[in-house]
Amino acid sequence: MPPLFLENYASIFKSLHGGIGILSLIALGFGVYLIIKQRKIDWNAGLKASLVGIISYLLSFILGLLIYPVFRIKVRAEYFDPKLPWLTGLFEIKEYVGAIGLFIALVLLGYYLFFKIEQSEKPIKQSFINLLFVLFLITLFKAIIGIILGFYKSI
Amino acid sequence: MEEKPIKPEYGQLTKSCRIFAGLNLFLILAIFVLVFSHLIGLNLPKYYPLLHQWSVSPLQEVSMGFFSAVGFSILTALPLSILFYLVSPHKQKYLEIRFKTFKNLSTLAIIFGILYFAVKEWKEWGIEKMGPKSESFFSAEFWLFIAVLVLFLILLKILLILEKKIFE
Repeated sequence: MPPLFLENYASIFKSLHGGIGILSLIALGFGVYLIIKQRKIDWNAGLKASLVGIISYLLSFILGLLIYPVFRIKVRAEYFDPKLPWLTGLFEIKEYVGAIGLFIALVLLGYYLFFKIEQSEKPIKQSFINLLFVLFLITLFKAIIGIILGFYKSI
Repeated sequence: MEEKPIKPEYGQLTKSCRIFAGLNLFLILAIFVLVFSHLIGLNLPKYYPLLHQWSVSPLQEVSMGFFSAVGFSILTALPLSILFYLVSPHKQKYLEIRFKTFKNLSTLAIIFGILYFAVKEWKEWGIEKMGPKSESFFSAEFWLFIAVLVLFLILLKILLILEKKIFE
């Protein structure tokens, strides 16, 4: 049988996917903290950390897509679907929630591109922080599910 | 007659308002298309990893529809949002575009989208494939929906508290 798409590189990509995902989680968490901390909003450092988090999220998502064919066959079809379908359920939720995270990340990049966020109108700032916070929660959720899935079986 | 002051957000649309509305519309539409295409089982091209090929018609192998679903959502939402951005100045007498409306709608769309997939996938893989099957009204499905509804309200509340707290 011919190898699956990028099968030979799957373990490298999987490590990068996880590593960059964790970087994204840390940077987004730090960004949210800097922006919402009560005494004084640190927009400058907060926006930089958030941008690192958003770009890392996009990279991690793309790497996830690249390893998906191998995961679909070697892990999901051979192990999760027949033996542990609830893990397939968790994986599917992770994927679709991740797709919503992708849309949010693209919109946040649009904010960086079109606005000077720290000088924008209040609703733009509020929306930015809302979306950033949700993206952080999504990344956290994905990290937890990823660890649970990896605990049972990995590529 | 004394003129009533008009809030700036009801007057001529500023460029930043149009961009903001366009970006949020993109988010809302992308989530809507992702959810709706999943709900109706839209027949998008699927990738067949064992056959190394894409196909719209179903084949007898393991398939992957996630790539198309995401791509289709973005490719549908993007042109519509750009169209909205271009058309909104000419059609604004028919529209009442407010920052707040779009901000709130996109928040609701995100929470709805997340919980839709949580319920749908957990029902399919966690309940239907694993059980427990129950005919009674207070079944596992019932408690799943209650749990998700509570989660929805909690998430919404957190976001509203956060929003209020930041700019007080």
